[in-house]
Amino acid sequence: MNVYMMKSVVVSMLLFCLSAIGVEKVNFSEQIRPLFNRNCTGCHGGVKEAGGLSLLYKESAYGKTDHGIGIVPGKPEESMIYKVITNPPEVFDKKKGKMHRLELMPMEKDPLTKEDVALIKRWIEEGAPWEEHWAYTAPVKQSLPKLDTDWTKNRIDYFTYAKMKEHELTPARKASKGTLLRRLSLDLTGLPPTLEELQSFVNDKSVDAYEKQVDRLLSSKHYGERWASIWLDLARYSDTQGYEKDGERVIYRFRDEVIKAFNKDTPYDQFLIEQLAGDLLPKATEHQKVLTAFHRNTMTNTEGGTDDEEFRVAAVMDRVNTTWEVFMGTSYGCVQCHTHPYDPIKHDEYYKFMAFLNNTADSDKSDDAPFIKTPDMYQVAKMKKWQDRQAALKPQVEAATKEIESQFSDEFTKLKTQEVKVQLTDLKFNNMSSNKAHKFTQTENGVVNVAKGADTAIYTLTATTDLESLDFIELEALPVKQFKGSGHAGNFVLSGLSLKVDGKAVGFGKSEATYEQKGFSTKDSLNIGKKGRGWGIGGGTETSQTAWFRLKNTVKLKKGAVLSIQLHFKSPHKLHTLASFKMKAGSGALAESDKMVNEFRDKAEADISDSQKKRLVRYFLKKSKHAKVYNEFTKLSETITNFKPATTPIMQDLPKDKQRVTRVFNRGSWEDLGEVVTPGTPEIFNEFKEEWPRNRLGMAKWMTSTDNPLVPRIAVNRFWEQLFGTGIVDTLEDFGSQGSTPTHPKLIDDLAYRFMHDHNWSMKSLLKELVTSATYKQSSNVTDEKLKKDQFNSYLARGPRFRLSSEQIRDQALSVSGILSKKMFGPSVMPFQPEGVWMTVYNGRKWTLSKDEDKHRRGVYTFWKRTSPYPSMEAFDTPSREICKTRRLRTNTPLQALVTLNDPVYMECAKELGILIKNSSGSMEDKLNFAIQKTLCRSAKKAELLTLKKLYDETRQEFGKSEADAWTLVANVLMNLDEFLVKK
Amino acid sequence: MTSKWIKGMAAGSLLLSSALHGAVDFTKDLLPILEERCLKCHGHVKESGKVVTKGDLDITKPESVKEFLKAGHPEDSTFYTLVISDDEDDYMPPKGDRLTDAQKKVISDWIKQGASFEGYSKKAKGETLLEKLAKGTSAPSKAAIAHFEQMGALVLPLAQNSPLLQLNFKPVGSKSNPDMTKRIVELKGNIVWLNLSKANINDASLVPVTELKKLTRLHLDNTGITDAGLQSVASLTNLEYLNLYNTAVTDAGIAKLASLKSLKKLFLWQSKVTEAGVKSLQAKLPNTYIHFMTPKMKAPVKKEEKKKAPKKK
Amino acid sequence: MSLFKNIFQEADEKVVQDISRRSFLKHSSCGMLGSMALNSLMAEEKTNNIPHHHGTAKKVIFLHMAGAPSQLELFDYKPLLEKMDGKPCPESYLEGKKLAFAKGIPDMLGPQHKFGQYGESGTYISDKLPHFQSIVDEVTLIKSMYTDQFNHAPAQLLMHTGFPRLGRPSMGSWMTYGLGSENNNLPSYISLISGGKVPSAGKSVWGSGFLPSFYQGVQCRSQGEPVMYSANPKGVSRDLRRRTLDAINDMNRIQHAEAKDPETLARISQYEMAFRMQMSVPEAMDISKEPEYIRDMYGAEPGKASFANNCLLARRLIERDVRFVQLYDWGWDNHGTNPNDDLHNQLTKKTREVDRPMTALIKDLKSRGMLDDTLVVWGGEFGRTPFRENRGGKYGKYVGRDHSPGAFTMWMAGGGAKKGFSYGETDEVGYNVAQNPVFIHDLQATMMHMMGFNHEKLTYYFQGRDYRLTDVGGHVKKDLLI
Repeated sequence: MNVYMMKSVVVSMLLFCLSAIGVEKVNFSEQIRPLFNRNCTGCHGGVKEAGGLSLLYKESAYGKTDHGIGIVPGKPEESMIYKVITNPPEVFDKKKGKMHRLELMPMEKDPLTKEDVALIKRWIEEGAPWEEHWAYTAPVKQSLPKLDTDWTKNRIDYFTYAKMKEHELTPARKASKGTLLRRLSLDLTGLPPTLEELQSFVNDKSVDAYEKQVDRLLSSKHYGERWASIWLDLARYSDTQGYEKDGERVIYRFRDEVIKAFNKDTPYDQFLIEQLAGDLLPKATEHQKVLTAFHRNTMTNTEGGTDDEEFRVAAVMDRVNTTWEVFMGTSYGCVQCHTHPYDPIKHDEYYKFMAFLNNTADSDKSDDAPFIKTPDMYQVAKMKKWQDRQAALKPQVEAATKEIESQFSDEFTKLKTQEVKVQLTDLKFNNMSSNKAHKFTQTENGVVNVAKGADTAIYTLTATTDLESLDFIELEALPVKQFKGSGHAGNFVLSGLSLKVDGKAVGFGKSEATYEQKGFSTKDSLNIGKKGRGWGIGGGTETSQTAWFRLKNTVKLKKGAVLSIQLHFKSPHKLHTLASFKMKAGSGALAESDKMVNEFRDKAEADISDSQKKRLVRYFLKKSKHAKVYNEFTKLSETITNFKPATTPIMQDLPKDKQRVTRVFNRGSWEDLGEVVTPGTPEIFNEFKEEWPRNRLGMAKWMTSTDNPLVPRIAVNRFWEQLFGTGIVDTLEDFGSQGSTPTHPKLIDDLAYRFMHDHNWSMKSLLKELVTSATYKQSSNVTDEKLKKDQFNSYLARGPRFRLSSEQIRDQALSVSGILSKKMFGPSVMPFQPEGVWMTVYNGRKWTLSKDEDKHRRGVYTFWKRTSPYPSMEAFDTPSREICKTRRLRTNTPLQALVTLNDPVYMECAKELGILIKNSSGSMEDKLNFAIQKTLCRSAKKAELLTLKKLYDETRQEFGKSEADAWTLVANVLMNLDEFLVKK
Repeated sequence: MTSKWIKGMAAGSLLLSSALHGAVDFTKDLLPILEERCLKCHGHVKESGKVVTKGDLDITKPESVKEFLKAGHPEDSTFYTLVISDDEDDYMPPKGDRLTDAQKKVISDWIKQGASFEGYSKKAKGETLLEKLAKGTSAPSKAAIAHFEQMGALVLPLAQNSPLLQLNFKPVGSKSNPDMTKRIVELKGNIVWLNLSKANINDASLVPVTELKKLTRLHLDNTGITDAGLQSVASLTNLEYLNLYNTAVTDAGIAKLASLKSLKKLFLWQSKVTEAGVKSLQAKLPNTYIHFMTPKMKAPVKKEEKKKAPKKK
Repeated sequence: MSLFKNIFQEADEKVVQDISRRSFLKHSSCGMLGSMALNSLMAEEKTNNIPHHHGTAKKVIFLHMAGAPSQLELFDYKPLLEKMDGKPCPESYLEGKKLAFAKGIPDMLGPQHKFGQYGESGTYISDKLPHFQSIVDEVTLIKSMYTDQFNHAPAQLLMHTGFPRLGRPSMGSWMTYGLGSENNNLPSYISLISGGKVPSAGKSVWGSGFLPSFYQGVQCRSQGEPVMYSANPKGVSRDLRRRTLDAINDMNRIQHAEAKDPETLARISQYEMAFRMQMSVPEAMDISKEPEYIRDMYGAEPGKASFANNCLLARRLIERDVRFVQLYDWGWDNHGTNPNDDLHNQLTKKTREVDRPMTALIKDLKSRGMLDDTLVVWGGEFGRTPFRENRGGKYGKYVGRDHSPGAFTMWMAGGGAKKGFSYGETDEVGYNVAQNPVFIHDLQATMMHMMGFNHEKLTYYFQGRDYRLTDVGGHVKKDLLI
């Protein structure tokens, strides 16, 4: 035997005894628990504990079951679970009253394989060590595996390289610079690199060229918009309220604040606390309060006949489920009806946690109260512009006012002498009566006085007039000292006015008055009895106030025509009838000046009240040379006062005395209430420290404490999934025992630990580590042989390649064709959408195409209606956001092809890109190269140039299309390539 | 989530069902309830033939049911007490909602009236034709299946792990051609459903069909076949459904179908057959439904008052 | 195009079909199904288009009368209710009942239209359905349907997705997920709308819920573009579009040679399918191609968006092997507050709109031999009360009924359902079910059974649970089947 042979024998001998000694102990989490879950936990878990055995809880599994001890460490023969899977013993059945043999487990399923039975036996013999589920113990920093390679750039690469070796895979070569920058740029900002950015990176030969690009992109303001897109899915953001009516909801400021939070790299734990309990923070800023709208995105049911409490409870439960799914990757919703079937969370613990969220003031009201005023930056800018302008005008107006006031007396006398174009005659009543038999007296200058008041009354007054035609009726309410105002109770409500001319009823059109109490306008007097409201002058009763009621159309009068007028008085308050008044009939167009002249003609300057004086000054100003300035000033003040800033619904706790009691819902039904519970968190996780308050803020602190095992893992897993296409744990929403096991367990724990302790929760710092790893920078090209070994790239032996999100697809098309609007923040916009798609069952709201640059805004700003989502984004898997969607399913359907081929939005992009190509310099080949460089960030291949040239020529010659059309189609082709629609 | 009006519903139904007493017949009244709610664990026959009888009760066998009851005394028969008991871990049925009051009443009435099984025919529905055909059929040839799939046709088993096949040429669409049916003989032991509707075939294409003895459903509608083609169909003894809608077959052709004793449905609309031809075939195949008339709608109802007096049922 | 290229393309497409189907089942073409938990993959493997048992039905046409037609005026004739017309509603009916708009003690309301007995079984049918009377022997009437949802949107969601809240796949998606598609140029699940408005629950009643959007119902509109964006832009003829697709496919193949991503080939096949759909959908939707007498039978007129047109379209789509066609007709919510929601003008208008086409659909399917394996289901989302709705406590000019989830009537025909059969009874005033109650999940379980599926086994793993259409309930009602 040659030396070589000897050595191999010795080596194999060594290996053999090594494995004998250090034989791998049976690992409970990786081998036994999945086996239990697959075969036993369905009936012996949380929902049902058949035979008194639950394999979820240590005390039950190792304790007494109906027929003996479940697991006896070290003694398989005495352990009940082993007996029933080998030969089930005879037991006493109390129902039948006689001994009978238990069934072979698992019941109704195929028996366990021999290997499984042996594995369980060995596990029990080794002392049956119990471990909690891997994701429920806090992550610890991992020791790096020993490797002999220089491929690794940072810690991440050690773990991925080790896993590749385990599966006999080798890392792929580094991706080309162009591909790498396109990948990095789309990942961090959601936008492709411009040609200039690409060229400068390609030409930058310095060692840290790549790091410079990473820093540039991380500090770009578009970074926040990209990551806000996925966050809005988690928050189930929508511009409507959901359910059947799905009315509108103003909540877009929440999107602005999420973008700002990402851009200023708020640490992840602080970001969570602000969204869960921003309003409870000391001296909470508007930013922090608006962030609590995260949970105000739940749906509101405003349909007639619905029970608000039922849908408030549904919203609170949605908040509990979303909090757990988004931040802690646990299917907490199951526990609403029963103890969690596979994870150790008990039924009442659901309601203990719900108690944290059950005391907010919102209660399914259609106006989404409570909300706060939160003007967005454009509104603030507009308001500032108005206020500045107002301030600039103020001195001029003040000066003008002073000037007018100084000449008030002669202005007043000039007014009184003005000739009145309109004909006005006092109405002398020949008959006055009321349905309450009041006593009426009329002085010879036409003033009518009514002796007694009443709660309601109808005055019937008839008079004759010699006017040729009648256009309006004037009613002047005169103050009466003894009643301290103009009605028997100081004020009156003219709830109706009717007029008959020679017995024929005449309709009124417009009406106006010198003063109208808020909510009591002359307009309401014209529809008698309908609204029970009418002209009232509360707050202006100390002086005479005049109202004019214009007839619908002029009425021709015979000489001595009989006018019979009825005044109706009806008010929620007592004695609101008119005590003293004067009426006139008039014909001709009633101009402002006529009214003023007519009102003050027989009044001396001395006895006009201050408010009348102010009115006069305003009137004179409008007539004076200062009119232009004055009118602008008044219009500006009006716009400023009734301007409605954007509001945002927020979380707000009920006052101490109005707190709700939270009870357990038996079998999950809100109508079947069980015992009361106080706020608390499930025992299986880190304990709730005493110093934390028992409210949402405490809960947020508990969640973001470094002892919480789930929050850091879920966060790093989500960022990983966004960059590599699939999470280290594939099921982002379920880290429980039924979720997928991690492909790189050590990597995710190491990342989670360091995210908290090295990166101090900084998302940008974590992302920088991910994108600067060699794993990330690999080329995504793959060989058939590697494809066979690892079709889904689970072991990352090549770069990521998967379809872009709906927002990225839209933004990339707009950016490449040069028409993307970089405008940020503000209300949601409405880009083009075909007719007949927008379905509103109840409100008449239309989909009106936004004007100019708002048409080409980024996808994250698109108006989102839950029951009728924007079709082209819905085709690319954007969820309708009725409930939170932890991740989007990337599909590949013919409907998507139709969108990018024929949607007018994408055709417009193709047209614009066609123009850019047409106008680019050089030969046909240069233009084609420019086109491919611009869209695919690489230089063209010979075959590609031929294909595109052939298409161009066919379009021009065979189909006789113009040059522009030909380039549009070339662009349309480029923007429909698989390579363009994916990130590679 | 149970809600208020479910309780209201139960109350309402109690109101009337008490009127339904009278003799309870095991097969008509009780068996449907048992089949729906108890059969799954007590008497369900699995594919492998093993019968599931938890707590060794099999509701399809009267003697096994008798073990759990005392005729005339529902209150001490576990068959009834378990159904109304409120003890969490042994009320029946364990899964899903409880039995409705009306169903409980049927059980207690039946036991009170002596729990008689007479008139109970173990619904021996016997094997359906398809189960009979499946017996002893070997698995279909993979190569033949691949051949037809490659062509674009749809070849699928009738049900999970069943050797019987359905062969559907419609997805072949415009590429279908007369000799595409050549190799169906290789699957003659398995094909029970053959769909050649709208296919571009002729009479010669049907020659291999004669060997598909197990065929029960044949679609030849909207094709160019004529009487000659029907020759290949005449020997299919198991054929139950034959669709010749919109083909050129005539009376002479369909006369050949008289041998198809098991034929249940024949469609001849828009073919060249006449009423006489159909009448003569109908005489030979009395229990075959033959449809060849053009569908007609009733004339719109005139405004005059229809007689209203509803006949008492 | 050279023959050589054609064959290469065809072979390529076939390979693609397999890869895309397999990779769809396995991987990223719908992300979620990647290397997810094993048992759901097995669920995938188990179904891959093969039913659990041999189903009598292969296709479904669901006619949903949005708003809930009044069963007391159409199918469920109650002589006692006629006698109690105008009398106050007995107390016993009202406890424990939730009323949407009716207040206090409303008066009972007798049937507003006359009934007659038709068919061998002498089934009572309203005079408002003259045509339907002629096919009574083809259908199974289920008079004992009941639900537990009181408002339109949740009730419609329960009827079509098995759960009253949003987020679950609709029945059509489940059937396509289970049985796959039988044609390669039309979507296998299509929805059509008439009556002027969308059903209250919006698009989610034909949505794919947590199933990949691959299984989503595609809404086809009979006015304007049948499928969104299916028309080529102005100036791009079909030949020119073919050239652009050839260019796209060529460049994708060049890229695939280097990157080898199976998804690239899958995208090629999807673009080809889109190209075919641009022709096949408008062709299928063009009812002017039907002979005159067939259009008259349905009362269909090209260019209009009517229920009659949609019934004719349903038959044409089923003939082209679409798996599940879902029709919604809005306007049945007869509360009686104004002339277009009362039991006289509005109900007459609606019954005239649907009676003829739905009858023509059954006769048409039957004559073509399609009724055997096509299941047609007709119905609303709940019933209406035996008493008259007195919204706000007083009776207006118009007559109407309030929502009543306790009992309503649906019918089904073909696909293995019994003929000329009536199942279940309601109490003497038609307010509750008295015999053989059929809950919504029972109806769904029975429909799944007719399509060849055990409703408890057709599941999809999502968020830690194997979800199914019938949620946690549902029993197959064998008495409804032949």
